[in-house]
Amino acid sequence: MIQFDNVTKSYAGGQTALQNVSFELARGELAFLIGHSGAGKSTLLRMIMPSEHPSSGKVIVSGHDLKELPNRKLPQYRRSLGVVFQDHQLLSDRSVFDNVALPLRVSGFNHRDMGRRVRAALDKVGLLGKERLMPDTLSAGERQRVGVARAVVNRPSVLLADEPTGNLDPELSGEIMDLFEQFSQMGACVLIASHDLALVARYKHRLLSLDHGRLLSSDFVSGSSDV
Amino acid sequence: MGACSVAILSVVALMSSSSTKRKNGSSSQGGLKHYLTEHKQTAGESIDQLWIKPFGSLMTIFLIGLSLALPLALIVILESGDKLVSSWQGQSKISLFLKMDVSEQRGAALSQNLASHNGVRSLRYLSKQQSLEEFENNSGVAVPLELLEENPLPAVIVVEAGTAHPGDLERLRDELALLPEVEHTQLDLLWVKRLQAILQAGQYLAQALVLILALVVLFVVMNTMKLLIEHRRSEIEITLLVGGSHAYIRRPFLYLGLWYGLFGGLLAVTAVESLLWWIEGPVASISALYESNFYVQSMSLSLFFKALLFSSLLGVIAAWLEVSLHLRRALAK
Repeated sequence: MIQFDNVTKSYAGGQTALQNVSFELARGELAFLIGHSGAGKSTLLRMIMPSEHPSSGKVIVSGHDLKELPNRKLPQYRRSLGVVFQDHQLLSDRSVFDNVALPLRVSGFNHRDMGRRVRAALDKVGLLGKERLMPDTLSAGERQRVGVARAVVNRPSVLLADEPTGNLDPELSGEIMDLFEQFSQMGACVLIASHDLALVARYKHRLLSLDHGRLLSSDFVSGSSDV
Repeated sequence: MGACSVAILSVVALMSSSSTKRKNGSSSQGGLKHYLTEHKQTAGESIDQLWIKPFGSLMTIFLIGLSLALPLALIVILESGDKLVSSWQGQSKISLFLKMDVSEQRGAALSQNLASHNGVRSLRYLSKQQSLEEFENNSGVAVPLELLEENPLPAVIVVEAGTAHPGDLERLRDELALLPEVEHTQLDLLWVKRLQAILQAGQYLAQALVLILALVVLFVVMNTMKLLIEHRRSEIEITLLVGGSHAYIRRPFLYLGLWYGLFGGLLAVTAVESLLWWIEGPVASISALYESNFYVQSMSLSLFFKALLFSSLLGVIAAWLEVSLHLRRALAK
């Protein structure tokens, strides 16, 4: 479903964000992307979105070589992705409902189906009843959950999350992770960038470890906090 | 109306390009009803956007309105002048001054012959005596005949031509000048031609003003859009990331451009109509003093709609250009 083939990303100043990264993630697979700050986690996620393209190598998602994907097909491709951003990326002048409904609106859903799906997504993240609130009135954790609801509302085939539990307490983090697991069990390919090693260790999933743009390992977690 | 139809179709095509490209199969539900609802909602939301920064919006609308009011006023005044010239041309007359030795009987007979001429609509024969009386009446000066040996004024046939075309009139005058009884002919078209040339120059000026001020409007709306895009930059970025197409991103801005253009156009039309109302009285007074039937006409319905369509189209085009530039820059990053 997601395939990185010898991907290198260098910037004009000579800085290299990713170096010969290769891995594959199958449909229904959940993987964690770990590494220190600046290791290249966000760059790797941006290449799947894609808001950046590799300097060399290929990124293939759902059969699309993203570098060759024409601009006119980009919106359609992005509708098959769900993305949870580290900084939430919510629209401050729109209600919780409108924020979560955004991917459905751009996809052309009618109001009835939109309402049903948004409420279901908010229910999953424990925010049902807060549809009319504005993001600024929510706590950081609640805003993060709104971001998660927006990412899953379109039932994406690929779910990307950049530090999705960064602002959440352990209990809620666990609930969100359970939600991601449910999505992977339903067939979605889930890739989560996180530096919360304790949280990562609780789940038996594949681990992609990045260090200075290089992929050090692509193994499964043993189930303990030995990562 | 052809140009209007093209303009309307262009606006509709720009506005609707997003929905026609949707390929989301099962998720694209509701067909036409959903499409219309979507547009209605976007149109409504974009009107609300005007109220977010009411002062800025008003300034933009004022700038558009005042920029368009100047050429529009010129066009309306030129249309009035054009109609006046046409009416004068319709009354074109050729005066045939007969030779002094032409007798009253011969002059009258000539006028009877000319009445059946193809190019003559009507005519009036003035004997020497009638010419003298008319001169005295019009000038208010009595001719001292006792000091003169005889009436110095010739008999005149005033011919009202059946054509208004200057070329045809000149041909008729040349033909009548060849008559043996005619000493001199007078067709005073020169000043009409001059006025017509001035009006034509005015029309060119109006066209140039329309072009220049349309560019001003384009830049004003584009600049406003630039600020709005900057204000909504994060929204655009997020919408792009969740799969919003360029047409989807563009749509609310196109509606905003439409509202700016439409309201600006309405302001221009209102300003011009107010100006016409304001000068109507003084112009009528001047016109009466010159015994002219000139009056400043109100804007025609067709010009009213053309002006609104033109300003709306300008707003939409400006919005389309600015958002497209922004999206192109965003893609290049």
